[in-house]
Amino acid sequence: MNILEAARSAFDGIAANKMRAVLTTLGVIIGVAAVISLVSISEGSIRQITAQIEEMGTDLITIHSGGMTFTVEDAAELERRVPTLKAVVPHLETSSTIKWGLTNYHTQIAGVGPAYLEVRNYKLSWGRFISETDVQFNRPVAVISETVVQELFRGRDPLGETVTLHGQQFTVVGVLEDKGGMFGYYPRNLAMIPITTAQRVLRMGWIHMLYGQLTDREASAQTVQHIQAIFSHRSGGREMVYVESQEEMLKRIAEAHRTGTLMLAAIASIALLVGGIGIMNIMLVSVTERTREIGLRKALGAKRRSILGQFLIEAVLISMAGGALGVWAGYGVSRLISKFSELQTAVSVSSVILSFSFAAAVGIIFGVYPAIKAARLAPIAALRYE
Amino acid sequence: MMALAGVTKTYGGTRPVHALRRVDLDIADGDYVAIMGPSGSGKSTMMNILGCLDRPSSGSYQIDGQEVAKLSDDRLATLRNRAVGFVFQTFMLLPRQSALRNVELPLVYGGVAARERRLRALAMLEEVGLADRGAHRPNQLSGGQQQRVAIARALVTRPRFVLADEPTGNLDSRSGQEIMTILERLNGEGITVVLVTHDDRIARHARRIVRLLDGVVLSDVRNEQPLDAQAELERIRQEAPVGANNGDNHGSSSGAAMPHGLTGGDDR
Repeated sequence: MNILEAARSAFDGIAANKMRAVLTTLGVIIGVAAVISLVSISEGSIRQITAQIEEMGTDLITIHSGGMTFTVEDAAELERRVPTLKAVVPHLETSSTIKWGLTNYHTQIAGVGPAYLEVRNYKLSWGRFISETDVQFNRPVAVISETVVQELFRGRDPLGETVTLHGQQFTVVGVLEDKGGMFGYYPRNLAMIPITTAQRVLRMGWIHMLYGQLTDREASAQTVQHIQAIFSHRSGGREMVYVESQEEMLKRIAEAHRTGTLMLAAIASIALLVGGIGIMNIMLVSVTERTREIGLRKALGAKRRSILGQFLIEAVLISMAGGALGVWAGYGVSRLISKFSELQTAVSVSSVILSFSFAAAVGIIFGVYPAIKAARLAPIAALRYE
Repeated sequence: MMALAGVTKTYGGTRPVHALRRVDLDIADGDYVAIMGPSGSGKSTMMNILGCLDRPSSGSYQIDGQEVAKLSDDRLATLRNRAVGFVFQTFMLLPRQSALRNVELPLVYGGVAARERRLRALAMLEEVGLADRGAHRPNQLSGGQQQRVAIARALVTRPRFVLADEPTGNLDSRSGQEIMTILERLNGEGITVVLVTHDDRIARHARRIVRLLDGVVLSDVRNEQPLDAQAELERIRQEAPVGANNGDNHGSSSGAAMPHGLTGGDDR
């Protein structure tokens, strides 16, 4: 008996109990849908983060202090000594409040240099950015983000207004365009002030972070090494700074998320496994119910493998139908999520292929035992079974 | 030729039931044998062993000199498929399949190609007078028609033996008689027929009657004057005419009249 005939018998078996078959597939449907939609959320967030990091400024180099601190002069020195760096800008940040009139608003305060705008790929909507002289003379000027403008000034022109930042008065000289993003890389409530002013006002003499901009993206590895060498020389051979190119950062974050995705998929596939047990359960019931049919088929000359094939194919058909419906449902759920929440989703082809094959494999694995049981029935016992 | 020699079949563990005790029985090709006995006498067990559905606990069962007990399960399946046709009391048709598909089933397991399968199944349905019922499901057929489908299924692989287990047990007398006519005709064509029954009247159609009791052969006699199923059927038809086809009987009075053609009357 060929596989087509076994499939035909299997189809008949499923058709005989449509409602039950549908209920049986439910477990697999939910399992596959869970895998696909959860992975799509994770994939979506990876894409979102990647896009954000790319937006963060092309050719960005991040230098974190790991024990040593930087000065404003360090930034200038690096810019001078490393030829592949177009600009280096110091950065320090803290969270505080901004006040205008009677309105208070929670905000991030960042002390930066004039190159910051270009290095971090920000755009100015009005006014001007922090200038070289602002830094030089510790001027109390601030550039605030659009969100802060909306919250604080509610539509009024903020330029030239005096705001209180961290207890000190500042004049608003410019407004920054908001950047998209929800993972903390771009705070929307942001006020930028000259780095030197920040050091004084915030009473932070030290700087934790420098941002560098590459002249050429290809030079990233070489530049990272160069910067490390400079600081390592200064600290007597110890690694006191973490230098990372944007490329490496992307890789690191994607890696972390990939692990998360795998975990999610693993958890969701437990549902699939449970679905498989459901299939086995129903197949066992089906074998018992159809004992007489099996006996008859054997009396008519069905060999063990014919019966085995019939029941195995039945289990696999059920699980694959569940898998297909699950892919459809998972896609739908993922679309709904991206439509009705802030999460972005992306259904990946690999998650579809993987979960569908997993569903089929579950059908085979959990179908084998009932099928073997059916195939082993003695024809006479099966015929006599009432 | 089917030959049972010293066949014992025991069921169960702690309190074993001896369904058959050292039974010797030879069934010649082309014979028409009725196996009789009350329930529990071992007649179904004997039928299962003859039909290769079961193996004897001890003793030997040979078909044409080949020892059946030594065959693997798959070889037994092939043997059942090719050599044996089963007719059951409860018809045992697959309820969701058409009559045609039911008849095709043994050919499916015999590995016959779809086209040939269809043709052979159709021919066989025609032979049992159900050519126009191929598309019907069992529940759309009468009991007698269902049993005829079952017989067509039993015959479609052209087996050498037909084993019928109470084939008329669930049928009214007229349908039962139709079935007996078909069995008689098959036997006339050279097929060995083994009939398991507890009904004396049905058994008298056979040319040899084996009586079992408590797993042993009580008697084994030749029936020198078997009932003529065809003639019986015509007599029933005349007594209770159904439809218009009793005109076929040429108006002659029935009982003693020799039927034309199909019966095994010449073999007497």
